[in-house]
Amino acid sequence: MQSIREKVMNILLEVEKPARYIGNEWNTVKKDLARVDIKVALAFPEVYDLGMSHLGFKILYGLLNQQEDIAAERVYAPWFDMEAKMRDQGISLFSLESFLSVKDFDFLGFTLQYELTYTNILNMLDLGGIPLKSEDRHREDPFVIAGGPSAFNPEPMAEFIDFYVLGDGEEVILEIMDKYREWKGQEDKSRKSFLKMVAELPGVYVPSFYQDYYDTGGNFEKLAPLDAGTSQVTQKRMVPSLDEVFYPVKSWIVPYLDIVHDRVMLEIFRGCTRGCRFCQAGTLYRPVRERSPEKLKELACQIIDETGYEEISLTSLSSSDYSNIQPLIRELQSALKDKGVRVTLPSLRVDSFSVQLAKVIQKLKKSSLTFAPEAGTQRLRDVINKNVSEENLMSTAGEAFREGWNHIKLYFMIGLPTETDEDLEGIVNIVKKIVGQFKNTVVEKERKGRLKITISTSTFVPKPHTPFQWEPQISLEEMKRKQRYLRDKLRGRNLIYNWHNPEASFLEAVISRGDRRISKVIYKAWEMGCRFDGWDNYLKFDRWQEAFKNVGLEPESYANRKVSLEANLPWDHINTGVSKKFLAKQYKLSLEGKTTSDCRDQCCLGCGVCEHPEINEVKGEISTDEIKA
Amino acid sequence: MKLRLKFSKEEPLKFISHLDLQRLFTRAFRRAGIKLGLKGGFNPQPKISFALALPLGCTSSGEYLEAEIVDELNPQEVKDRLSFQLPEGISIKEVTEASQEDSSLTSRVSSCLYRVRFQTEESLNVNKLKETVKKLLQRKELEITRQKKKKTKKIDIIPLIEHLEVMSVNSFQGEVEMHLKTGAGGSIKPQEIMSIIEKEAPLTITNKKIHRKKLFLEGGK
Ligand code: SF4
Repeated sequence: MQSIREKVMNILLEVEKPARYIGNEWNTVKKDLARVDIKVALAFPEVYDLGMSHLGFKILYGLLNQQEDIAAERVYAPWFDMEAKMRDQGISLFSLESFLSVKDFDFLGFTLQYELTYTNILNMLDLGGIPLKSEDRHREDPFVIAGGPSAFNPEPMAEFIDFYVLGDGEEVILEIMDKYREWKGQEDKSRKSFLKMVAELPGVYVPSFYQDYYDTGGNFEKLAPLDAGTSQVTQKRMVPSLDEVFYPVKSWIVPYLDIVHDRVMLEIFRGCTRGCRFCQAGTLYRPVRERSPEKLKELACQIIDETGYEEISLTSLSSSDYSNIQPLIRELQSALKDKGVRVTLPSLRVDSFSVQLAKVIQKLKKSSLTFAPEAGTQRLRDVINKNVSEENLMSTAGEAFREGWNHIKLYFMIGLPTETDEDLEGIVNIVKKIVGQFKNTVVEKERKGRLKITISTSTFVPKPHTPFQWEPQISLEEMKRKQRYLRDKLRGRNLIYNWHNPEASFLEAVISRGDRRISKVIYKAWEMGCRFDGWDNYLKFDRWQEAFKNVGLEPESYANRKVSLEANLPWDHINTGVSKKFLAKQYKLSLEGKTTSDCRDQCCLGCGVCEHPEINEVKGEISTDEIKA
Repeated sequence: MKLRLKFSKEEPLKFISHLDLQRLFTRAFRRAGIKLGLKGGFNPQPKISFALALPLGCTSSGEYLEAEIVDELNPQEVKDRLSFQLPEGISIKEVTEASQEDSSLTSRVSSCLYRVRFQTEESLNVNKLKETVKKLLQRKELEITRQKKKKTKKIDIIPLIEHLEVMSVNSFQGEVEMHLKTGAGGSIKPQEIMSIIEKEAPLTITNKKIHRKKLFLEGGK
């Protein structure tokens, strides 16, 4: 019989971008599987070109492979053409290192980055010949686990995932491996006994140990443990110091294909405490933990030597907030200059400091500058706690123009709580003023090329664990109307307006705030052929609507409903370290239009995360004001 | 200094594109600590150029590239250091110093030698296949039509075939070798020759493996 590898090689000339499926990239870790005890498949529920860029995945891949008795291999979602060929030829979903079927691994771990990849997960399980539902799996099936930001509401995928890992995965994964070794050596080798063992680990959540309840009106009532011994809440795990934790160097894979972020990503810090009220990452990755400049320099040089990459990007949620960003950039530049390596920053804060940073970085080639004011008026920016003023924005744009940039990208959100058409008009005004700023700053004969302003709007999605988790999303019709409003007004030879697919934003809201019943809808949608829902061209919204109808749930009751502050939420049992009380306080402040400062600049706001035993480092005193609240 | 590298591209790297290959080499040079010369001030690009792009899906044992390196290094040392940094599927056969005056490699490729192994649905007969090829080559003219954007173009391919020969046949498998012209005077792809054979024989080819054995360069020192 032909091996999976042979079968795959025979069909690759008939599919798009065959290099997605060949493995064998530089720095791939290929172990002799006969000589390891534990095989872990790390699965990214997206196509290779996107999945390969993900940092968390690289960290776990490197860390697991560092253990002698463990082999970690990568798996990505096959694109439509490949899936069709695989189904036709009876090829199971396989790993890129050994071309082993995913069902022959001990673990199959998915990263949940975005709710609209969930049907891909079901599809991947199906292609791998693994029962989709947790309860249908047998002894010989792998344990299907999941982590990542979307796992912080684990309920919508609860039927399919054996257990979740919450928080910084590198902190927990080896503990899970220890439990597995122990379990393999013991007599009781039932799946349940292993699940019981991992459930004892902080940061691990086993959905099948809990039961969901609904009231007579069909609303979520609560989630409760089935056994008295099971803990009520699951704490997220946190890496206390980034300097000590594993970072992939030798296992930084260099793809053949031009992937989405084809560069070295150097994580300069984790967390962000600016406190934008719509932002989920701001809660999930708290508190801020910086890597030291020395460590960063050491890592940068090592990874470049191992990969030969031509670019290194300083990543984080808000890179210009790194304590000593300017000296860091200069030091990295001088260390890497001789190797012909560029240092880049992914996004910029709206201030003159950031323009100066960009200047240091884009010395020769002035590409575009990206800013995210998020809302069109000061009032709304105060509501969302985005501390950017119009003066900031105008002087920043002016400075950027003076320094020679003429392409600016602006990000806004529509449908934010309390938004009215005045706020939309505010977006239009800002854009007009920036155009005016360009004309005022750069005299005609000094203009190098035409001014270009790209305006992109996404639609607000109320995300769990944010101060806006109780807020409704605007209706689909409203989204379309607002987008039309902006489309009509943002016309002009210098302007490009992009908007986000409303149906995708709606589905994201439904699933993000979903309870366990949403599992059934996802299953149905997958059955009806939905996959790659995050791709505008492939989202089949009508099938999703049918799936909801079929299961008997109204998607609007998840997305467009204002939830009472007193109600239990389907994700209350997951503890990010930030208290619900703090979120509620922030919510109230937002409705009063009151802003809160960054706890890095001022005193601690008492969000709670630093009280965690793994952190133990509250910045300054908690302000008495906050305690009273 | 300017270096010429001869290398092979074997399975499974036949699935990576020409652009992928360019990236692969620039990164391998950097890992090897060999600095490439740069061109263009605005967005500098490494000075590395390939003789002739190898189509995706083909293997080869005789590709060439030229690279300008900043430091004076012994070609043998470059070969050793670079070989250590290349993935399975690419291997360097030879590194020599190239003359600075030589015109670009690309402009000097005149023809290529290919070997095509294929499988057929019907059983093959060696004499019949040889006869088909012989008749093909005896024609005064053999026109094929190519689609380029919306225009179709007819070209006579007889002058573009230097040599075409059936090497071996074994019930459902065959092997042919072809020496084909390329460059400014026109070019023909091995796939196109195979389609003609398929039509003329007639045959149903199910699986073909194209291998470039050699590139012929003209001019230069
Ligand atoms: S506990 Fe205090 S210092 Fe720590 S992240 Fe929260 S607000 Fe900031």
